[in-house]
Amino acid sequence: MKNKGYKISILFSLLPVILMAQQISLSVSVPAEVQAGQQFRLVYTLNAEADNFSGPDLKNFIILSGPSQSTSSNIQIINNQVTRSFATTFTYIIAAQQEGTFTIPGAKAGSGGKQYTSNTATIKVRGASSPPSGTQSPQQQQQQRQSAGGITNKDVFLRVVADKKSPYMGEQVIVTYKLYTRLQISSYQIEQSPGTSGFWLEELLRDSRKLKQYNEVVDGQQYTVAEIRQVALFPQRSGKLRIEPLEIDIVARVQQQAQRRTGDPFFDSFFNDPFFSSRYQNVNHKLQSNAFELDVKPLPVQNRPSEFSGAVGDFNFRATIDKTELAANEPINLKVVINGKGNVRLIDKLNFQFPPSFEVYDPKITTDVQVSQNGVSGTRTLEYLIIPRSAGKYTIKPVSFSYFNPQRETYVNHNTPEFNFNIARGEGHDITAGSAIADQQSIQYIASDIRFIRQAPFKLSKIGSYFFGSSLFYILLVSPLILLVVFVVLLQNHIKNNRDIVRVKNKRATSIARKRLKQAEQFLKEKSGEKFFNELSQALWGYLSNKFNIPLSELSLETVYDRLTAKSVKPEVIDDFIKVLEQCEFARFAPGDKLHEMDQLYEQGLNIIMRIEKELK
Amino acid sequence: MTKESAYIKSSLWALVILTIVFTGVSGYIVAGPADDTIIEANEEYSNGYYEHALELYKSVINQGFASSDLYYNIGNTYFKLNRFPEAILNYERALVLAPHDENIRFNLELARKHTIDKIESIPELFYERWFKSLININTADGWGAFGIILLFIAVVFASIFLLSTRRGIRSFSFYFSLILLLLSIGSLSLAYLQHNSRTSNRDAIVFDPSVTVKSSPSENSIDLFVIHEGTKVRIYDIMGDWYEVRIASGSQGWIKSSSVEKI
Repeated sequence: MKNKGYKISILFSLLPVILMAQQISLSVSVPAEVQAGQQFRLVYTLNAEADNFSGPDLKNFIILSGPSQSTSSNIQIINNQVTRSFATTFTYIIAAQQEGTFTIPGAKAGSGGKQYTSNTATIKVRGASSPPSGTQSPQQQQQQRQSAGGITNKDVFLRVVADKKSPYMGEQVIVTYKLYTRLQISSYQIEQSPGTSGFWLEELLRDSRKLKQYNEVVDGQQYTVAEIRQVALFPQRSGKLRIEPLEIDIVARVQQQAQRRTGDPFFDSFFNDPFFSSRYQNVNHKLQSNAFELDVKPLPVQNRPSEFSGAVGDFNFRATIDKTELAANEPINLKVVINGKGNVRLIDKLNFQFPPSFEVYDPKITTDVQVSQNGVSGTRTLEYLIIPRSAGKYTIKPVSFSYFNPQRETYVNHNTPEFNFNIARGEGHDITAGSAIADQQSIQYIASDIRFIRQAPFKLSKIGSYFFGSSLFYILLVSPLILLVVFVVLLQNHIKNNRDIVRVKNKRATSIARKRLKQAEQFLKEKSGEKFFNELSQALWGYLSNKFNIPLSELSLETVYDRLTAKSVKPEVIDDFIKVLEQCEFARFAPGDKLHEMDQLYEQGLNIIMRIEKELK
Repeated sequence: MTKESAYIKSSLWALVILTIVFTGVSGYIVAGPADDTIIEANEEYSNGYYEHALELYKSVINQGFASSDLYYNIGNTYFKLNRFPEAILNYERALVLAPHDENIRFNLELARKHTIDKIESIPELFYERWFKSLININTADGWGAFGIILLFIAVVFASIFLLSTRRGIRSFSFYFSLILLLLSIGSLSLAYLQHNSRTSNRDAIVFDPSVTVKSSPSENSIDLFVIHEGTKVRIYDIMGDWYEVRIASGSQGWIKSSSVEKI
């Protein structure tokens, strides 16, 4: 303690010592050789307090930051002589664009009313070395700013690495944000997450507390690399998709630049003493990663299954049911398990076609996602609870689950097996039970569709030719009428002809009777009785038949009586006629001598015909 | 000449004429080489190759043949191809040839549901509805044939009336024949009405995706309303290439003839 107090008193006693005169100059310091695209520092140092500064024309370089001014003072005490040096530095962070040798013109700085010009610097720019990772951007894109604490992007920078540059739509891309540092970083905070338009994003390091750390050599410098963030990106559309830069705030422990160096072990230890002045300082610094683009390929259209609903990755698929033999109203569990690598969250539910009498609830979907450094994988389980409401044999038809495998660049199809159920009648409300108390249900319509086509043969007809209005139609229409007319005419003729026959018969009745009677007279002379009676009988009947238009079949004594009465013949004449007829019939079949009777009957027959003729006139 | 021979003669006549009727009617119905095409087309339809089925059906139409069944199948094919205006047109054509067909009406109704315009039609009076459904029981040809057959039977009964001497038969056949004659006249009138609506061809289906109905037959006239494809219109007047049309709701206006297809 005593020692320390002594030191301080010495220090303060020496302060008013006259400073040694020193020549003021503006010097430039720059690496002799850099890579194209590499950031480097261009430092102008004025060993006095600067009033103004005008920088050089840096047309061949990109100014990433600067000029940033910093001052430092240095007090040297050598052999009781105190030298106080004062320095103002102007620092540019620049990068060369092209290869070649460039000359940086001198800069100007003013101090104490005098202008100082630096000498020119020559710098050789080599070709850019290839970046260590595919998507790692050149360093010039890392728009790292130098903080007031003098942290440059050589000390610490942020890089983005993606595992593939042109993925398929929906294929996962693992993007790693690596923090390269040569400083001690005490903390960092992600300020701005990249915009994720067009992506489905899954943080991979959500749960891991420990960051993966390792050493890497970049441009000959050893860096500690920490993978601070890792995400799995699932591009949701094809084309060029930009990943916005990530911004982080870091707090770095930086060794102070204005170190007092005395070369004296005593003072060195004195000034480096943490009590007196901490050599490290916590400096806030903003870092921004590079932005980069992914060229997302669309999924091939060729051979794309119709069931494909956007799943990309590599999956296993299993569909099971817990029972196939059960009673109605007992639940069935249909479980579909899809596991594998890829975005299982985006797997849609399967479109099972359940029989209409199955009551199906919305599937219970559980998703178990594992994130790791290898990306997103997981299991998606769809659990369908099915309750068959009626007995019978039912089938759930196979359903396809298809996904795109980006490694093999093909679509893969998995089919569920065909599930057959044999459902027995259940307890309680069974629709098919048919009992009086069974709950009736209206028919469930599943969908509507048009009715099916007609089957051949068709009754084809010529277009525009119609039966109605055709000549055939008219012929047919008129023909019944013609037919009727023809029929009427024919009928009339027939009736007329019939009438003529009656008239002729009537006319001829008497003459026929006379002929017959003459014949009878002949038989009378020959005395052949049989023939005579026969002839006479026929003469009389024939006369009646012809005269009164009575068909022979209808001839009888009654009809004769009726007809003659109808023709208003006197009853005694009719009686006589009937008597003659009767006698004639009697004589025909009676035995014995009939000659006398024959004469008499002949006379009577003649007589009665004469009388009827007379009556009818 | 006796009565028997007259009977035989008249029944022979009737037989001859009936033969002519049936051969005549069947003369309008052709079943020929087109049958194979239709069978093939039906198979293609069943297998889901609607485009090819359509081609085959159309080839039958191009041969100059048609039937309600054929139009119905074409309508179904268009329906399956989601070409609803064409489906509606073909169903309507089928319906002209088979107005009582329930399947055609069902499918037409389904096809209409896929059109954009929902038109509230003017409600018809009950007797109009009855009369329409009565007419639509049969086609013009069907009504015509029915009328002719009724007329034949009426003539037969008239003959019985003329021939018979029995009082009961005579009065029965007289009145029966009279009723048949009246029914025949009625049937023929329905045939005439049906034939008129068939040949006048006043209905059309809109084929353009959307058509602006104008107040007069000129492009510069005022727009009245817009109708869309699949809507049925009735043509009332023709002026150059413009039709004056009326839709089911009763609204009327002029449209270009090219935007519709006649049934």
